[in-house]
Amino acid sequence: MAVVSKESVLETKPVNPRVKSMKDFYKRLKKNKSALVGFYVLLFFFFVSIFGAIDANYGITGVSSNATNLTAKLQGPSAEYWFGTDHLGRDIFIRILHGMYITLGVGFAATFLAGLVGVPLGIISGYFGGWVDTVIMRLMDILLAFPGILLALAIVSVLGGSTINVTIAIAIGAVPQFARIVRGSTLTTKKLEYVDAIRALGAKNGKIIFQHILPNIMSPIIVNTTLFIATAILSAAGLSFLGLGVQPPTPEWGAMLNDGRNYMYQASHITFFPGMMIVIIVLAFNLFGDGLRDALDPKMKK
Amino acid sequence: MTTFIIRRLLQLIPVLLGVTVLVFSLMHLTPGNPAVIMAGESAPEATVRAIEARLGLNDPLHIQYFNFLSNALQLDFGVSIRDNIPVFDHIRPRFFITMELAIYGTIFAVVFGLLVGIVSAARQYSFSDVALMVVALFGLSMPNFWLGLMLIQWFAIELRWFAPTGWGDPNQIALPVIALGTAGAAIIARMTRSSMLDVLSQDYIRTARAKGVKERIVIFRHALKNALIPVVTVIGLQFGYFLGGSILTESVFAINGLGRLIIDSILQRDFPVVQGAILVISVSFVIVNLVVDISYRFLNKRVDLN
Repeated sequence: MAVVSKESVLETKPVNPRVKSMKDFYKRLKKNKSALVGFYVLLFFFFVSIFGAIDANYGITGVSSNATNLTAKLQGPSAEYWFGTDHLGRDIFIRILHGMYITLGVGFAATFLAGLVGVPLGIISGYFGGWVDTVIMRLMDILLAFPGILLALAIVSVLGGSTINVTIAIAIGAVPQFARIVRGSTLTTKKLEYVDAIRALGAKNGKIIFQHILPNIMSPIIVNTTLFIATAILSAAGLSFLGLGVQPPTPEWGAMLNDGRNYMYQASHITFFPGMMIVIIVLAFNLFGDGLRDALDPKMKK
Repeated sequence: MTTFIIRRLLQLIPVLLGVTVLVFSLMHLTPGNPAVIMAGESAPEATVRAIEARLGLNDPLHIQYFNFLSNALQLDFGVSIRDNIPVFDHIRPRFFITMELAIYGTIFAVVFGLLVGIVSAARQYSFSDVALMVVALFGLSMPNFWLGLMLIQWFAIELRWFAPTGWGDPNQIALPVIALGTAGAAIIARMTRSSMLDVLSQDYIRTARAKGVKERIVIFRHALKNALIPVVTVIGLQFGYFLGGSILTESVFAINGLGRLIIDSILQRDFPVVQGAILVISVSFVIVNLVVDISYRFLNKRVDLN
């Protein structure tokens, strides 16, 4: 009898295409030199930031990021103070080291929170369509009506400035971006023939979404997550720079830039080094994200 | 086309209503009694009562919102808590400064972005292409406020070519415009490059080259026109983002624009000014997006924006 059971159709798929494409993906990523540079720089800073976090809390180097030394204030870079000292004589190198996990942590946490809310919203919107889609997307449009840092600023003005509130504010601002991208990819995936076939075989919505839609839309999610961490780091530094984010004396890099701008005439290194560190980390995320996009989306690659 | 514009305009209504609800909620979501926050913790009871009465804080919420909305439609955002001057009078002069900054920033971004993008695409994988794209990536990764600080350091403090702060004189305008526009220039450059490369690989370009058309004419007359269509959207979006990004630039260069007004008012808990200024920026942003959508549709008749 030629009656094919439900299970056998679902199981006699050819070799899992995902596994094959993962191998492909690594091969393509390895060929992309700049993406690899970005990846190794990030890996390096990841470990440095862990060391910094431990040192900040348990004092391995024995130097505190808030130890003031008024006899050594506004000193330029030297063998003793690699990045110089600020207006209170605090060691800028140590402050950057101790602040690194805050910068990276806020970037990761805000992006993760945004994805946690934005991805399901995008999938629901794209998969179910109709009025659910309209309502969700109009709500997202409302959030998108506040350009750039403005929404995060408004939220922080309500919640007050602190590390957690900055993370929440930036996450809320990023939700619509995730939702939009995920909705678009879901719409494309939903229309694929094999999804129709699986539905015809009686698969439930939940199964279709988790086993068939989600794996297919992972690439745009991963790429945008990487690139969004870069934006989140910039926004967090911006809010702290305005004095509305992470509050001093926490050695957050944007807050350090804010401290330093009053001493630009005497000591330009106070504003130079924290900013340069932001540039390097954001650049690494952008390089890696660009490389990921090229590797995950072969069509884009020339 | 007309139906498209009308439909887009109708779509704006729920979005704008939502924006007003959010902005209205700002004051009420803040923990504590807004009147006490604005008057200051130690303010006498009478002052608090006066602020409550003036802002109608004792009315039911929906009445308060309705009043807020109908006043906002008439550009009446109440009066500043700080100096009792109508909020709109605070906003108006600063709105034009922020607009000016955003417009100059866009011009800077478009000129440099297109130039870099075209050169890069015309010489794909050459030294200048790689170098320009590295610079663009740096431009994209730089916080605009830090770039502003560095520009002040180099060109205002050390070389003394430009003024470090303020707005109005030509020597005050250059640095903030560069600080604000650089990231946008980088985005437009990358977009132009990839869009040009797309177009340059198409058949009609090969035909033109085969006919013996000069490369310069191929690039500027045949390719650029089609390559620019997706770039237009990015340019429009950049202008919108500059309205938001100018908050940081204005803070760095001490420019009396809307962004600085928002920051100062947040720090001083002057809610009516914060609300009015945020509302004005987001409504302008929404209108800019509408214009971009319509012009994209107009430029590219093949696109169906259903």
